[in-house]
This record gives sequence, structure tokens and C-alpha cells, in this order.
Amino acid sequence: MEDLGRDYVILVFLSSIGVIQIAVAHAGLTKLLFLKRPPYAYALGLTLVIAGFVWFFWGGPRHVPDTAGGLDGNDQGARFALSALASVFFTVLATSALNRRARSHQTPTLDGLEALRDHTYLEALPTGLRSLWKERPPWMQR
Amino acid sequence: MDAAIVRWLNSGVDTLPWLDDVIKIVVNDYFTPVAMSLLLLGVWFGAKTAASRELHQRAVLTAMLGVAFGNLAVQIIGAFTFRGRPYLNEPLELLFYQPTDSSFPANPAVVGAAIAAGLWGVNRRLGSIAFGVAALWGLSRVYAGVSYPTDVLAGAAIGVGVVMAVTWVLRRIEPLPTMVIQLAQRFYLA
Repeated sequence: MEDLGRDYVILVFLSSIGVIQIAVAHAGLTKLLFLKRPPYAYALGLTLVIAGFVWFFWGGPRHVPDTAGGLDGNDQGARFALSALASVFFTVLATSALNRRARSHQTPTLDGLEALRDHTYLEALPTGLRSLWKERPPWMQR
Repeated sequence: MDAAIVRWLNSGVDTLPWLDDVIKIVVNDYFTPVAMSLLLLGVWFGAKTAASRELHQRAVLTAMLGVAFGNLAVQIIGAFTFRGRPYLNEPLELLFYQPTDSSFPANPAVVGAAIAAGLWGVNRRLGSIAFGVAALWGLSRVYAGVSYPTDVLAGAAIGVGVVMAVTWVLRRIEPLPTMVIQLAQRFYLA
């Protein structure tokens, strides 16, 4: 059970990082890329997705009922959500560190991911948090 | 009719060993659900413009809520009805473990159809691909001997129906969905 659960988390974590790389390369969100050139990002993403699935299914199809140590739907859902979220945070933090030298001198916009074409996540985040603080509801302003 | 289709499809087992190996992976509890969930993750990040991204992210939220409420519908139906699995009633070559819960409706069909219908609302190409994967998933379960065709069809109908209901509700509770996306935008995650 623990091995299956652990392997499932690794499958989702690796393949989520890969999917995010493919998606942000397609979207042109260059400050979220580990590798600057989109073709390399596609290749890295695809490799990570395949690696995740090969890791998980290397020993066979893993047909284990949830009554005998398999993961039930709720457990899968929770593990998927946490692993995918972890992969998102790993991506934004790692790419902020990798791309920190190519800083933009303009203030990030409040357009969400759109701002990550020109700014790393950690460059943009303070702008978003400041705007949230300025627009906080009256009951929080006391 | 239902049983005849299962017997006919399942009679192909052992004819092409490589096909059986592929079906064992597709019908797996982990392969297709993870693949379809990864598709949603990719759609969340993958649109090329801000406007298109917001539309796609709404579709992802709709699909996720569709899966959640679709599963709830399956639990409720399962509390009132029970249908034995095909392998209990037919002489079949099973390609999967022996599930003990109700065969009707097929939960994987609910999940697959809900994700596909959620995407179809905003992107016909991705929606078609997802419907293709969901159909393959459902067909594989019949081939593997764990679901009847009507279980899969009912599951797909529930998945699509729940997504239509979720879409309707999300329109009625505006601006709440917009606020959720705008909050995620302030954290640069949407």
C-alpha cells in the first residue's frame, strides 16, 4: 500500500512538472521554463511525463483492488491534488531561481500567469499580494 | 443484449496478447484517470492569450466539479441499487481484478465523460480527444469483463448531465467563479 501510494505521488509529481513545461512552452510563458528554448522544453516535458509513467508501470499494470491495498478514488484525488500542487510550486520556485538574472525593469501587471512572460514568479508575487492588501475588505482594514 | 455484447467483446481476449496488455493498462485504476487529470492541468496553463486562458480555466473548474458531483451521484445510486459484475454472471476471461461494488453505473465512465464534457464546452478539439479517451476507457472495461455496456453508457450520461448542471449553476452564481479565478490571478497561478 505504502509503495503504491508513494509511487503514485512520484508518478503525478514527475508527470505534472512535465505537463506544465509543455503547456507553458505552448503558451509562451517563458519565465516558467526550465530550459529557455521551447523545443527543449517540449522535449524535457515529454521525457518527464514518460518517465513518470514508466516508473509507475515498470513492474506491470498494478491491478490492486482498494480493498487489498490499492488507492480508492478519494485517496487518489487527494494525492493527485497535493502532488500536482507541489509540482506547481516546485516549478514556480525553481524557475524563479533559474531565471533570476534576466530581470525585467517594468512592474508586473495583475494579469495572473500573463505576467510570467516577462517576470519570474517571485518577482511578480509581491505586486499581486500588495494589490490584494490594498483592496482588502473594510472589516480587515481596522 | 447487454450480456451478449460483453461475451462477444470478451471473446477476443487471448487472440492478440499485445492488445490484452494495452487494455490492461488502459483499464487500470491509475493510468487513464491520471492521464485525463494531467490533460486538465495542461489546459489550465496552456492557452496562448489571457482571454482564452480564463475560458479554459473555467472549463477545468467545471470539469473538476463535474467529476466530484458525478462521483457523488454514483455513490447515491449505489446506495439504492446493486448490479452484479459481468464476470459473476457470464463465463468471461477477466483482465482486471474482481471489483465487489455495483457495476451500475460505471464510475470511470462518469469521470471520463465529465472531464471530456467540461473541455468540450470551450475547446472542441481537446474535448473530442478527451471523449475518445473516455470511450476507449469504457470500451476497455467491457472488453476486460468488469462492466456492461449499459453501465458505461449510463455513466457517460451521468458525467455529461452533471457537467451541464454544473455549467448552469456556475452561470447562476456569477461573480463567484470569476472571483475565484481573479484571486488565483493575484497569486499568479491562473
